[in-house]
Amino acid sequence: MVVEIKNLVKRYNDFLAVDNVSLNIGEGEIYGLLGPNGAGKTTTINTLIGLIKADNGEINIHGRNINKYSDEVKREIGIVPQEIAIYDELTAMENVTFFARLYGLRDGLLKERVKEALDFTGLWDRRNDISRKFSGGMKRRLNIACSIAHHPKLIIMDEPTVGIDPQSRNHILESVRELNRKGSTIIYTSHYMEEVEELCNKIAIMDHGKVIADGTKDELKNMVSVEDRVEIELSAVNYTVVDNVKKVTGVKDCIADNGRLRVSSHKDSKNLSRIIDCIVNADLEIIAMNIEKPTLETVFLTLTGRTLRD
Amino acid sequence: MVIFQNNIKRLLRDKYTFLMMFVIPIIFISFILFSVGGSRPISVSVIDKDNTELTKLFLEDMSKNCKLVDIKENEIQKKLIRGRTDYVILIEKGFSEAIIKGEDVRLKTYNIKETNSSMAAQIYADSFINAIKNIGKASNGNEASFYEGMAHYKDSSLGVEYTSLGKSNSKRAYTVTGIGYLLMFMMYLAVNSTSLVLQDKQLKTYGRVLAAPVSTKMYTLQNFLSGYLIVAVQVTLILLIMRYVFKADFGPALLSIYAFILIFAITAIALSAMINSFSKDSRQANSMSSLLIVPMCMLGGAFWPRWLMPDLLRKISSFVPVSWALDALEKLIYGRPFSSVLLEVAIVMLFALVFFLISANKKRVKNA
Repeated sequence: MVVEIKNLVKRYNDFLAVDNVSLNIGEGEIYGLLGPNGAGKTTTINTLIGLIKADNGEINIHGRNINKYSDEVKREIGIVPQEIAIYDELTAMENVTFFARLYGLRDGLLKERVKEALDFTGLWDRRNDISRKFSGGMKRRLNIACSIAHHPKLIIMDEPTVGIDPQSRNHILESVRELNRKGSTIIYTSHYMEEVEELCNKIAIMDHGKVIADGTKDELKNMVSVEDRVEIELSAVNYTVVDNVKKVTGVKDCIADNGRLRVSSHKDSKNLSRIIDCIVNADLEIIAMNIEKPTLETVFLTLTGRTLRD
Repeated sequence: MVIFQNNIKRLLRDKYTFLMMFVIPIIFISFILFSVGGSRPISVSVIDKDNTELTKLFLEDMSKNCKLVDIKENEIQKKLIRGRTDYVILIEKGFSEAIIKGEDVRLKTYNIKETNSSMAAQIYADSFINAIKNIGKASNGNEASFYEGMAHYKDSSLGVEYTSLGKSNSKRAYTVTGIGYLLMFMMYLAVNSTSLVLQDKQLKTYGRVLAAPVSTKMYTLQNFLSGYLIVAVQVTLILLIMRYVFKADFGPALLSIYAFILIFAITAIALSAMINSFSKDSRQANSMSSLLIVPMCMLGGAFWPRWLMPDLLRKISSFVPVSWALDALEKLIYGRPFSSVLLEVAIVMLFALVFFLISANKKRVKNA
């Protein structure tokens, strides 16, 4: 395991920010921490990187306790903070150089890694520009560059795409995949459901300081889906085909609606081919078909009773 | 020392730091040293009720070294307090007669005790009177013998010795005021330099730096050191400009003065650490520093002599480090050795310790 969090608790006076959180993150994973603002994601991250002291619990990174081996552990982590944390009055190159030096990089290796980080984030051509002049997207990319020059084994990205244009967002998401391909384990926190769904292979959903569910995307979706749904647009609809579809094993219901059939089946019935057979046998043409699957939004809604952006 | 170097780079690029570091202090200090008149002669006011040949001789000799002005008896106090005159001599009726008879008479003089500006005039007048008393005793009341003796005395070069001392003392008084302003700007610059911690917290780089293998202690220490270096550079350059451009008179021991100001810079950094620990952001720190530093300089005698203030305020000023610093610097400027200001060094360092402790305690409470 790269990260083991056991029974983590953090209080701020009477407010329980992190409530007995336990997580295990394996080598090479892109691990998503999903939850609304105030769910406890950033507090968990800040405890993980040693900025906040936990009231209770234990955190090990690569098997080493973060309190006992603070410096060694910190050298292996790269943090991309939620808010852009760079020096406005310094150039892009000076920013990356400063943070890389904090991790002990010097001389030739320092220069090489700074160039690599700026190249990676597409900022090498703007390396001598004062970062104050950068657009929001470029600042976000510089925010990433500052965290990767020392080649961290674990990269923690806390909402790295907040408030930026789609182009920069895609660039960042692609960067995350690339860093993961190069061997870094990534913890990615976001309240953008689609980003987490697209990027992460394992996800923990947090709410009110607790992990309310964790697992792979499919495991999470399976937790909440009770039926499979399919919507089929036909050249025409008649009652015979509706009756025949209803007789297919596993089908719970079939409704004709404005040239479409809405079929719901028991979960994992695997009866789609038989439903199609019924339609074909009735000499009807299939124009379009949409298999409805539960999203992470559905998962969150089901588990918490509210949407992520409520 | 990565954070130290980065801080220096950031501070030197900041226009406000540059203004606080050189431009504004130089404007203020040059105003004091030039406009107020760094080399004006000592002003001695005279009321001559005796008006004899002897008193004329006396005043003629005084006028070689001082600027003599007339004054009315009821104006003495007012003019001294307002700094219009440095020293007042009142020669009573019968003074010359008593001297010639060999009697032990004294001149009535007035000056402000706490200032050094009248020192030269005082020494000169005392020497002259002592000399003529001796001549008086030797002449046994014989007026002709007395004035013969006076003629010999006039030819002596005694007065010349005090001429340079008088001008020098006057210049040094303004140097002290100039240094008072320097102390104030040092404290402002210290607050500005060390408030990088607050800026880091605002920029969120504070957390990012501490997420690297850097301890809070190391971060704070490097922050203090960078602030101290900036203040030390300010002190060095301004003292050099004062000395070699404005020709300010630092007395015989410029190096001792420099050393003391560098010691006081530690107190300035400690004060700024305390201000920063009570502030949420650098704007609040700047406001708080104005609220603390200006009154501290007022009480400490950086803007005007402390003897002008009421007793209560003078007592309160003992609790202000600027008072002790200026006392020490005045001593050094007027030629006292560094060993004579060791008490002030200890007290200024004690202030630094108290400020650091308050700051550390505030941080501990915040983090709890």
